[in-house]
Amino acid sequence: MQKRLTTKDWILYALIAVLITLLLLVMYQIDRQWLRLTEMQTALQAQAKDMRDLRSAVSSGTLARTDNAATATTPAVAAAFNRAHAMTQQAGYAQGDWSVNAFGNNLKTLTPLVSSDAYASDVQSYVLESLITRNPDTLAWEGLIAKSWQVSADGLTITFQMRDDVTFSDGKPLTADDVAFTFDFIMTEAIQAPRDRAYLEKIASVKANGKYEVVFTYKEPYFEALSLAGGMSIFPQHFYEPYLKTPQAFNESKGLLLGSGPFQMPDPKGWTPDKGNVELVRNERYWGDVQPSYNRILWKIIQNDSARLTTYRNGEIDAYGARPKEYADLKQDPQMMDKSQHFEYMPPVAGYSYIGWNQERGGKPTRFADKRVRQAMSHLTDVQRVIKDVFLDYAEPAVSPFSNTSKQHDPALQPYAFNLEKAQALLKEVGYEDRNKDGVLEDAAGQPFEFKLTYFDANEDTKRMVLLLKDLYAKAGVKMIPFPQEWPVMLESLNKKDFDAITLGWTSGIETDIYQMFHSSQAKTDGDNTISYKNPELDKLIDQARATVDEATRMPLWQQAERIMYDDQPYTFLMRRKTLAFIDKRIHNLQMTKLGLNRGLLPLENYVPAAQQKYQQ
Amino acid sequence: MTKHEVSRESFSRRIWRKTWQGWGVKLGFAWIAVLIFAGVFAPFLANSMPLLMSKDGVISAPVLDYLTKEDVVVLVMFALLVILAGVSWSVGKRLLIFVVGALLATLLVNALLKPPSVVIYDQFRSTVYTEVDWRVMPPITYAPQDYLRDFGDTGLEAPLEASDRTHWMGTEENGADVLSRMIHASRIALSIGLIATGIALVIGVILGGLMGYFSGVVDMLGMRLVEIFESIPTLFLLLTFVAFFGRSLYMMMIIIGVTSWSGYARYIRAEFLKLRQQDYVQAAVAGGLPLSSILFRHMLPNGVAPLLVGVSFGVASAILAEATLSFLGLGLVDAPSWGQMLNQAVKSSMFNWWMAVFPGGAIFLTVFAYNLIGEAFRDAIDPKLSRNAGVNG
Repeated sequence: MQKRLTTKDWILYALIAVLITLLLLVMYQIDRQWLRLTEMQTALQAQAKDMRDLRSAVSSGTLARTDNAATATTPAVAAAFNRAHAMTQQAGYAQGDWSVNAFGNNLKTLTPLVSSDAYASDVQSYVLESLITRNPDTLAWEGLIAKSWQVSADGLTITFQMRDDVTFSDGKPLTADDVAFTFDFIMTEAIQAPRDRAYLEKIASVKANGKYEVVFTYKEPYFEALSLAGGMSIFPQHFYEPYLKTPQAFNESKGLLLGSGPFQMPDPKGWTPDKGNVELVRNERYWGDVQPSYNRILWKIIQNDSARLTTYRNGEIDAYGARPKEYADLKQDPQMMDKSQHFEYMPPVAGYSYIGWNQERGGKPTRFADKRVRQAMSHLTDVQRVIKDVFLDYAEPAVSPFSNTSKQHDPALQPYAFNLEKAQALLKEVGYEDRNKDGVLEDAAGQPFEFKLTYFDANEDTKRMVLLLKDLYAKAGVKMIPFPQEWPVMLESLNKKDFDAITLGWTSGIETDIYQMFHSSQAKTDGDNTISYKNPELDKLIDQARATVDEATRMPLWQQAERIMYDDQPYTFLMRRKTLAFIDKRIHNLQMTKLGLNRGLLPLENYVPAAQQKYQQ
Repeated sequence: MTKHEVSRESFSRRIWRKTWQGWGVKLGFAWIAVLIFAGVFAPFLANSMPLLMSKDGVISAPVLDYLTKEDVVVLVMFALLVILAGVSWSVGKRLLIFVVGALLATLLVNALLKPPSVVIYDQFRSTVYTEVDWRVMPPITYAPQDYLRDFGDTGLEAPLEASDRTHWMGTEENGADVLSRMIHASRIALSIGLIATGIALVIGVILGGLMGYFSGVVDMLGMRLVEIFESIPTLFLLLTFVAFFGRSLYMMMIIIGVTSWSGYARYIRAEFLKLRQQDYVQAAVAGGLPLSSILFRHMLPNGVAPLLVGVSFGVASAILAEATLSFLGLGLVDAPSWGQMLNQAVKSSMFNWWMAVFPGGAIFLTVFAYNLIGEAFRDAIDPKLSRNAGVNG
C-alpha cells in the first residue's frame, strides 16, 4: 500500500514541530536566566565583600574619623576631575547608555605590554590609569592617582605622593608597591615589552617610600622624565605578579587586563580574540570623584569601510571617521546630517605623513644620499596641490616632524614650495641630464633617474596622491614607479631597508621626540631610522635636547635641529591631516580641547540625556 | 528517402560551418571582433595627442612618436594575421610564420624602438599642440593615463557632467576618461585570455597527449600530477604572488596558464586513449614514424575538436580571474582594466553607476561571448546534438 499523508499525519507533524520549537525556546530562555544568575551572583559576591570590608573598617574605628574629615572639608573634586564634574552639573545630565565604537581590524591581544596596536591601547586607556594626566585646557600635568609631586633640583629624582583612596576594580587598594612592581615587571627581561623597556631604561629605580609615596630615580637627565614616570600605567601587583613565574603564559595571553580605571573587563582573564567584539562594563567600585556616565563601552569589529558607514547610518555605532572626499559628500546628505554632529579639526597630536628617501641600500649610498637630490624632490612634491586635489584642503602642509603649533617649531621656516626650475637646476648641478632624449634624466653613468615609491596598498587616498606625484615628477624628467605593497610585506622591506622611497606617516605627541627616526644610532637593523639618515650635527643636537630638562633652553635646541632637517630633507614632509568625524547626536557635551575632541578623553566627559538613551542594561 | 551523399568537406570545415549557424555565436564573434579592433587600434582611438597635425607647414604625427613597444608589437601581429589569412598555405605553416614573425617583431621593437618613457599629457593641451594650421584628433581625445592634471580634481564625474570636457562615460576616481580606459582595457582582457589559455593549451596538449598515448604508468603518474594541479586554488596563488613579487600582467598570464592546463590535459588524454588503438595510428607506429609525428601530425588533428570548447570557456575564466584580482585592488596600479574600474563603483559611500555599468557590462559581454562560442562549438562537435552532420546529410 502506498503511504499518503493524511490530515491526521499533518496534525501530528505540526504538533511535533510546535513541541520542538517550544523546547528550543525554553532552552534559550533557561540559558539566558543562567547567564543573568551568574551575573547577579558575581555582583552579590562583590557587594558582600565590600560589606565585609566596611564592617571591619567600622569595627576598627578608622572609618568614623575619615568620614568626619571628609564632611568637614568641602566635597572637593580633584583638579583632574573638574571638567567631568562640570558635565555632571549640566541640566540634562544622566548616567546610563553605552558608547559603541568600531575597530577596523581584529585585535590580537588586549594584554598590556604585549599588545602593539592602537586599538588595544584604546581599550586599555579605559581600564588602566597612571599617576598623572594632562589637562585638556592648559596641557599642564595634573595629578590623577598622584596628589602632588616634587622634582629634585638636578631633575634626576621625582617623588609622587599618592591618593590613599584608590582601589583596583576588584576592590584591592592601589599603593606605592603597585607602582614599583609595575616598573620591575616591565623591566623583567622575560616579559615581552621591548618597546616600553627602551624608554623606561632611562630610569634607574622606582622605590615605594611608605604606602602612598613613590620615588623615581633617573640615570641621566631626560626631558620627558615627568611624563615617562607619571604616564606609566599602573598594574595591580596581586593580579600580574604570578606571571613573573610563567612569563611565557603572559606573553601569549590574549586578555589579561585589570586596573583601577572607570571601566573593567567583565572577566579580567577571559577575553579571547575569537569573541571579536570588546566590551567593557562600568567599574562599580570606581574611586574617582566623578563616576563615568556610560554603563558600557563596546567596540565592534567592522573591517570594511562602507560596511562601517552603513552601520553608523543605522545607528549601531556612535562615530564614523570619514575620508576627505567622503566627508564633503556626506555633509550634503540630509539623512546623515540629521543624526550627526560633525567635526573637522586638526588635533595637536596629529601625525605627519612623509616620503622617506632611502640613502643606503645594500651597504651602498643611493642617489638620494645627495642632499641636493632630496631638496629637488621636495621642490617637485607639490604638497599644496596634493592637499587641494586629494585631501580637499582638509590638511595642512608639514614643515618638519614638529607640529606648526608646537613650540619646537621655528615659525620662520616655510614649507618647500613647488618650484620646477629650482629642482631642475639642483638636479643639473648633481649631474642629471636627459642624455638620450627619452624624457627621463640620466646621471653621468647613463643610469636613468627612475625609482619605486612604496606605499600601503589599502589606502585609497595615498594611491591617488602617488599617481599625482608621478605626473608631477615626470615634468622634471624623473620617472617614479608606484609600488603598492601589503602591510606585512611593507614592514618587512622597511626592516630590511629594502626600498627606494616610501611614503608613510608618524604619529606625534605634544612634544615630539625625533631620536627614534632621525638619530644615526637608530639606523641599525630593526631601528626606525629606516632611511639610514646620518648627520652627526643633528645627532649631537638631539642628544643635547633630550638631556635638557629646562624647557626654555630645550626649545631652541629643537628649533636648531629642525633647521638642519629642513635643509637636509631626509624626508619630504607632506602634511598633517584633519580628523573628519561624524558623531551621533545623542552624545552630549562634545567639546574641542587642546588635545582634540574630548570624546574618549578620560575622565569621561560625554553623556547621553535620559530621553535619548538607547541601551538599557 | 534522400539520396546517399558523401560530403567532400573536411572535418574542421564542417565543424566551422555548423558552429557558424546560430545567431548567438555570430553575436559572440561580432563582440570579439569589436574588442580586437579596439585593442589593436587603441592608441589611435583614444589618445591625448593629435593623430596628424600641421604646424607652420610641417606635417607630423605625434601619436606615432608616443607609440609604446607593446602598441607596435600588437599592430605588427595584427598585420601578420591579416596577411596570413589571405594566403592559402597550410594551417601549420601559417601558424609557424605567425609565431616566428611575432617573436621577430618583439625582438626588433625591443632593440630599435626608444619611445619616451615618461609622458606629460598636459603638454598636448598647451599651445604647442593646439595652435596649429590643422590637426586630426582621435575620436576620444584623452589617453587612459591622462588624469587631466591641468583641470584640477576631475575624479568621478558622471557622464557628460563636466561642461568644458566631453566624457561619454564619465571619469574614474583619479580623473581619467572612462571610455578611453575601457578601450585600452580591452587589450588587457583579450591578451590575458588568449596568452594564459595558450600557455595552458600547450602544456595540456603535450602532457595529455603523452598520457593518452602511452597510458599505463605514464598515464597513472600524469593523472596524479593533474590532480595536484587541480587542487591549487589559482586565485589564492595569484594573491600570494602579487603580495610578494609585485604586480605584473605577464606574471598573471603565466600563473593562470600554468595552473589551468589540467582540464585540457584530461580532454586530450581521453581522446588519445580512444585513438591509440585505431588502425591509422597503428599503421603510423608500424611505419616507424617518430613519436612527435604520430602524436601531433596524425593523432592531434583527430582529437583536437573537444578542446575548442574548453578553450573558449578557458579564455572567459582567465578574463574573469584578472577582473577579480583587479576588483580586489590587486591588479595593475594605473594601467586600465575593467575589474579595477568596477572596483570604483562603490567609493566614498556613493554608488557611481557609470563605473558599474560600463566595465561590468564589458566583462559580462566578453565572458558571455566566449561562452556562446564555446557552446556553439560543443553543439557542432557533439554527434548526438548535431542532427545534420555532414556524412548523413
